[in-house]
Amino acid sequence: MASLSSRALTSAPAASGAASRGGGGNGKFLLRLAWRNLSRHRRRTVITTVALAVSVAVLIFMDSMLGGIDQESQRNLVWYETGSGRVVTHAQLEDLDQVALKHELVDYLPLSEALSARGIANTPRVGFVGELFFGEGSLPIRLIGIDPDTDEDVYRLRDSLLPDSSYLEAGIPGLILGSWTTDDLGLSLGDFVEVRTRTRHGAMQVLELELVGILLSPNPTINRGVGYLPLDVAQYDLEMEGVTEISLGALPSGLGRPIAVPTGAFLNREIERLNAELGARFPNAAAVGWPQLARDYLALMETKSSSNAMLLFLILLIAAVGISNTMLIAVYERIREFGMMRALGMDDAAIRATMVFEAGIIGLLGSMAGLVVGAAATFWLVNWGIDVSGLYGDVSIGYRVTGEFRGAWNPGTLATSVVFGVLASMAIALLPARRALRLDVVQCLRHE
Amino acid sequence: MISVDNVTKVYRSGSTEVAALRGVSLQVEDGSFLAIAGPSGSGKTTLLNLIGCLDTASSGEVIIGGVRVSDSNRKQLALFRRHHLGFIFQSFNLIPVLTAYENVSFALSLLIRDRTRVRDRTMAILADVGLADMADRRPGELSGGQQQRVAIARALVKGPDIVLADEPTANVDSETGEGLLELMRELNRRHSTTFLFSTHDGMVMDYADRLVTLQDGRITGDETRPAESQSAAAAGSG
Ligand SMILES: Nc1ncnc2c1ncn2[C@@H]1O[C@H](COP(=O)(O)OP(=O)(O)OP(=O)(O)O)[C@@H](O)[C@H]1O
Ligand SMILES: [Mg+2]
Repeated sequence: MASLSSRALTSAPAASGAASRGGGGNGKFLLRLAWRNLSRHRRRTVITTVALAVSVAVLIFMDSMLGGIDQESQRNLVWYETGSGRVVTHAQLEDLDQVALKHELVDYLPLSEALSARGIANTPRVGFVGELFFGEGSLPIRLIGIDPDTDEDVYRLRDSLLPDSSYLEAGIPGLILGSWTTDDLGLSLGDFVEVRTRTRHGAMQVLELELVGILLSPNPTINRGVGYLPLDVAQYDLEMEGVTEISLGALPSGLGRPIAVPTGAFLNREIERLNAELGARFPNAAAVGWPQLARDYLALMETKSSSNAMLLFLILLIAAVGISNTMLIAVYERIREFGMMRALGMDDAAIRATMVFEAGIIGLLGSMAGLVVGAAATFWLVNWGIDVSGLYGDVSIGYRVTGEFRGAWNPGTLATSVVFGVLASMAIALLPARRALRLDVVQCLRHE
Repeated sequence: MISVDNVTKVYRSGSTEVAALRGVSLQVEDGSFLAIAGPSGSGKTTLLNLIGCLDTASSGEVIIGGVRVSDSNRKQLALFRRHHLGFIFQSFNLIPVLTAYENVSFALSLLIRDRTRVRDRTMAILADVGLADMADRRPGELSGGQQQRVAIARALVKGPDIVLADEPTANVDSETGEGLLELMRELNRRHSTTFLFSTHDGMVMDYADRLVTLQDGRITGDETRPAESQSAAAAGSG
């Protein structure tokens, strides 16, 4: 009995040390076994893989859609509501939520010229509130006096006018309303309405305006509750010399093309630079970027994005449950086989590896298939877009989007979903494998 | 040399205790072809599991090649099994998605990295069990007897010192079983590998050169048979 040395029981035999280190089976064999094991129950494998693929595809598509809505929404906010930023008085800056006529920029013309000289498109506006009366009906309304000559340099109201509308003309007391407002009040083009408000000095004032245009914009917030009139008409009736703000358009980037919807560090830097340069000549004025003008919107978007993340997480959870179930069954039906392999001296890590590899292959196939389908759907969404106008009707849900929008590419999501699909699947397989290996060899072999 | 010294094994399930072995002592010489017989529940599988280092005794000692099994931890036992023991199971326990060749070579590749050596030895042992031309078939494409031959090849491919076979012929018909026994005895003689198997089957007992009888966890008979009587028995039943 020379071969049964005590050395064998107490330490790894020197002669076969290399094999012992291998943990009982080389990786290639374990991988091949895992691959073959997928064919034991083809249907189960296919269903699990398809479930993961669908989840990954939906995840990629939804992410693109939500990203697209966000992008579109942000753009529409800037193009229809805020501009890329504003120049207001310091006093107004302290209280951005309460636009007040008393915070008047009197020297707005030289200011506007200075901005234009820097290559920044801009337009003056006067914002105020009032009550709109027509027939028996009335409603509170936000009114904006716009300069018909330059407003288009910053905003896109004119593009949103419905057929038969005309644009505002300086000196003529016309009014443009959103179509949701005109529908609410039963107004049509050519009707005269009354707007009651207070002047700069607090006196009651009644404006009589003719409805010259009806607009339906992609930004639902201006389709209801907002009216536009010529700046000079507003200034005259409100007894003002100046304006409440100068809206800023695209910011020159030094990259040749101005940036229409500037964000982040670039925007902050530009606004800071503008303040530094304007400060000397116009001590009364201060520039502010659009995110500060839309804090409510951004807060809302934050909530939405966390609930969207929750939704995406749920989608992945469903796939995870599917894989977990499949691996649980696969491990359970192979317990006796594990017993055999352990009896033969294969170690637990190698057995665990077969299950982890098996799940990893499902993860890889599923996520790759999901990636291809999801990317194809995203490609379509980015290039053709979808029309959601029927979806919400004329109700604003916070997004500044109506009608059609397009998807956005998010390479991060594409990569993450594949990596996550593979790694999570592998991690999921660890649990049932570990539980099976907690049984001793004899229990495994007795398992029915 | 296998030495089982006054071994007991008690299984506890909840409040009930089952004494599967009650003071079993047994010495097995190298190269033996030993059958353990006994009625169902007498402790045959339990004894084989202890000798096969798959389980540990409640008391007493199992000593293989001078080494106490109870002194080793789980990892050392796995390593020991890998290098020195072969197993044949009643229900074959082949991996259904691997070919006959792969089922055998995987056991060897746990020890040897050299691919050509693994291939040569696997093909040689498959030829020994008469399956050289079925190496590429999966278990589902083989008869029960052929599957058990693959299992025998798997147990023997690494040249173990001891092969433990728990009712190796119980799942095949008697003619096939006899073929398997012939094969095992031949391999036992050629490689002087110790074979220990358990059985219910009188024909299997006839092949053994030593027959140990268990009853109720105790050894009640231990009979060494001369070589002539085995051949006669084999001839008689064949
Ligand atoms: N894991 C276990 N837990 C509890 N009792 C067990 C366990 N394994 C075996 N036993 C009991 O130990 C006794 C001996 O069992 P063992 O399997 O060794 O018998 P056997 O001789 O192999 O029987 P058979 O011929 O039916 O295979 C039986 O009473 C059995 O019920
Ligand atoms: Mg038994």
